[in-house]
Amino acid sequence: MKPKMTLQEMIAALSAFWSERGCVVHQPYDMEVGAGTMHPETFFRSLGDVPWRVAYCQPSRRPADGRYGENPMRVYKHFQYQVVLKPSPADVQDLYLASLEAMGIDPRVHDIRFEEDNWESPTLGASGVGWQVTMDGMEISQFTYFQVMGGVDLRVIPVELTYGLERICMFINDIRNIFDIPWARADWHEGGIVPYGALRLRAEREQSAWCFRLADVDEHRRQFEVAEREARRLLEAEDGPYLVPAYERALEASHLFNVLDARGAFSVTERQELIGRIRRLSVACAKAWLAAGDAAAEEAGS
Amino acid sequence: MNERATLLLELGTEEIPARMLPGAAADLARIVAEVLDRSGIAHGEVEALWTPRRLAVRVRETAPASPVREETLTGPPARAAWDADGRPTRAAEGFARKHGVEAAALERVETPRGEYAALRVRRGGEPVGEILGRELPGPVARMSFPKTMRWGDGQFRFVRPVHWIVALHGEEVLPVELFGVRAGRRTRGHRTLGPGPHEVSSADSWEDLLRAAGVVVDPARRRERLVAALGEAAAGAGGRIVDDPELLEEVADMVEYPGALVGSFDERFPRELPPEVLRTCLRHHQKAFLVAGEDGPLPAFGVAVNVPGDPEGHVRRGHEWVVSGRLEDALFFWREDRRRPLADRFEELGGVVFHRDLGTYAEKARRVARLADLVGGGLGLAAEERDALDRAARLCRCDLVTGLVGEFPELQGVAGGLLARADGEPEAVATAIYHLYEPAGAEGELPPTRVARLLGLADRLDTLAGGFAVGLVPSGSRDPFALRRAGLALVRLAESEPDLDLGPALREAIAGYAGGELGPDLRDRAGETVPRLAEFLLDRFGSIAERRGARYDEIAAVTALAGARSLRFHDLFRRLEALAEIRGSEDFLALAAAAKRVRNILAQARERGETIDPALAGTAPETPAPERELLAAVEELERVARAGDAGPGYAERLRAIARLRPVVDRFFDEILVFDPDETARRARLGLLARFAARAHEVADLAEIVVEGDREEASPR
Repeated sequence: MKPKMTLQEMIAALSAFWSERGCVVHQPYDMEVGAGTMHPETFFRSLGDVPWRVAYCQPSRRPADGRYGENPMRVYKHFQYQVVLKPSPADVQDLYLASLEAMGIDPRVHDIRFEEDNWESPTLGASGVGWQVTMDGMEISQFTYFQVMGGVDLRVIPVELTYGLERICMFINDIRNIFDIPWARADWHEGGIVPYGALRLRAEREQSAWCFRLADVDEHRRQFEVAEREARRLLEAEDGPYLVPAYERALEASHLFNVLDARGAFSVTERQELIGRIRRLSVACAKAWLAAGDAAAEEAGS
Repeated sequence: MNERATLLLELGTEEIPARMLPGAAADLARIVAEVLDRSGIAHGEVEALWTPRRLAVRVRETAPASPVREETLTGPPARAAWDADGRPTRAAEGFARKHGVEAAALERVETPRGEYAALRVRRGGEPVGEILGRELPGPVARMSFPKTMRWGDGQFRFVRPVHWIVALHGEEVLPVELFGVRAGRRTRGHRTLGPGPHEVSSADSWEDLLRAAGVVVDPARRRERLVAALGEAAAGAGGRIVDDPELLEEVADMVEYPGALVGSFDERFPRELPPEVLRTCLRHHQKAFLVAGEDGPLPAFGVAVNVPGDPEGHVRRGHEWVVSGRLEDALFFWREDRRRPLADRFEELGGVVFHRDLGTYAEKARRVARLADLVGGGLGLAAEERDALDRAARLCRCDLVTGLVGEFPELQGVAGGLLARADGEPEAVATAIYHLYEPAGAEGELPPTRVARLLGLADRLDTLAGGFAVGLVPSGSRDPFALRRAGLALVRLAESEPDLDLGPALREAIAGYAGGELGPDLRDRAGETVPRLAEFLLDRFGSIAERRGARYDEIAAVTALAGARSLRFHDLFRRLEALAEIRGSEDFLALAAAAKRVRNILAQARERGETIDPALAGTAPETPAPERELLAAVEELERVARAGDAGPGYAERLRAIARLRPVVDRFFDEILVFDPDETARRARLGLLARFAARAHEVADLAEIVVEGDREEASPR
């Protein structure tokens, strides 16, 4: 059966749609992150009053969600399409619905709803108000008006749209297993498509094993300490702060934490303590960014 | 427009969470009504209407403006206002200027103080739109929500961004501006069925216009139509929707169009999953209703949808897909959890914190077991019941570490009960665990067995004792440990045990936190904690009694007899019933007044340093007849009281007291208590003390408010 829309066609459609609406179409951040929000082009640009519009696809790694490639819905790494519009435009819900149409979803034959779901990221020191968007009862997106980022109360409010690409692709093509969704049309390949599994299944098996069984806990703890120390040093350097590398160290610490968490390495109190330490790094980065002022923000960039 | 007409205010927003909608709409209606009432604008019925995307207020028969009234403003005295030739003086001109008129407009008026210059002015007559435009923004911006947000340039804060406002009086647009949006007559319909924008020609046509645009704005109507749609869909699948009023209310507030559909899932789910788990899973994840046939759950569910139809089956298939995934998870947990007995999980409770300062659930379970045994033993529980209680106390929190409760926290207790039963635990144990969290509040059903009730009682006692000891006492809207709910449950559970005195149980509950293995040591704080806790429970008792229709003075009359030393809730409720029963009788009210008089006399006597000794009653050398009669009556009451429980019930005892009215009346009519003769005085005070002791035996009658002396009432 011919796919209605492949994963790469969805990404292209969303990029074209948001490009036409004035977004910088960025690339995924080249580090391990748990969500598109952690991309510096979202985290930093949400701060201060300078307008910003960006869209990108972000592979997001969640070690605890790995299922050795055996669960039809859950994976260690999935692809989020992330859009940030700052300040949030008045017609953002209509824009979002139009973007679904751009992927071939006809809102008239589906039940699309905005259901309360407030977002919080304890490691980023961030929170927002919004919804999960459901289509026919299935969550397909997160829709969040950021209120706090890096511990800073925001004045000009960014809105973040996060599309769960695999979910939507399963939906559009009426496929019930994530590994069967079409990544690309390919007449040279069996079945006329390259399925998601052909690209991802092996990685899922191995990454799950790594995160649940193989990762060296002591070494991860040590690396966590190193990342944290480096971040501090970069932020506190006399000729600094060296904001971008410092933030990258915080991202590292965050991913190391996620692996340790999947390994079950923490007690409840230790877990809370480490989350607090990462948050303090995020908050310090946000403060340093704001201290540099909006002019600096304009010429910054990661 | 001088006619009365319908007033409409609609705030169009992005989707407001269902849980906040009814309160928000009611608040908005209250604000509009208050503005109208404050300005004296006559109006009819005020309705709060809402959908997820709008909060609206409709006020029928609203006057177009505030009422006009004439006022006379008095200026300077006439002789200072006009000179001999009748020309206005500078004083008159100054007064006129102050009110923006010419001095020629001033009139002479007679007042009790003489003739004055005056100005007749007309006040009011301000159009309703101007009043609303001025008065609404403040209170609307201050409306409270569990969570609010900013948007765009961050200028405004509300529950969700506001996009349009319709403000009409009849056909006229009102000059209202809220959150930077100017009101007009443009509204929007359902996102796909009739998005609009639509022009609302008049406030009266708004509801129909929206209905045509796919929106049912009246929440009650939306719910009704949803019930019908769900029922029809379920009937089509050969079953009926299993009632769930709370869920219905929630889902009806998540749609603008009340549509419904029924989907199906694999037959093994209703076969293998207990109905409780099946229902919770559907409800929790998918806000779906269980569909049942003659013989229990069918492999089908019903959901509310925001669309009238599903021509291509997308909506149904989507829900079926998600529901099946969720049920698969639930089944996985149910199977996994049964791989080992509940009892094996006890050790893991040592890693689950009950409260930071109160230790883990393992410690709590041990304390509850000890407390349950003490209370059960005191009530003469049979040996096998005590065993069941002990076992249940140790197992009742083990479900906290099951996958099922991890996934569905609302199954706490129920999951434990089901797993205990599956493990082959005695039925009494399984039932007690199953009902651990009942009653849910002041109403809610009590657990069905005595063991279950005592388990719940011991559990609440422990929670309250610990919570109070570490300063989690509820205040105002703050009650982080849900102690009020625990208190309500405890009072109701205690009511089910006629012989139970919670006073000693409270002390034992504090003593349970005695350090070592059992958790932190709170013994030092017992002295202050127990009386506060008793007071707190008496307040909960009062709120339950109030729901049952008791008056506050009756509640005060019975709670006056209780405290940390004696806290028998079964008994207090019975006393309250007796009071209610006898309340209507005239003799009783008169006697309550007399009781109050006696209380005052005795207080006065104490103030004067008089000797009040009950033994001195009747010891004066000369005892007049009215005094003798009262003494004889009191002695009779004392005789009856000595019979205790074997004697007459509370209502009968109150009636007996009420029958004393003529005797008491005569005593006060003819006898001087504060007789100059010391022996006579002491005898009479002693007699009154004995009378008071008997009169207040069932309830403190002096607390009863008798018409005409309300100022003495002291609501708790």
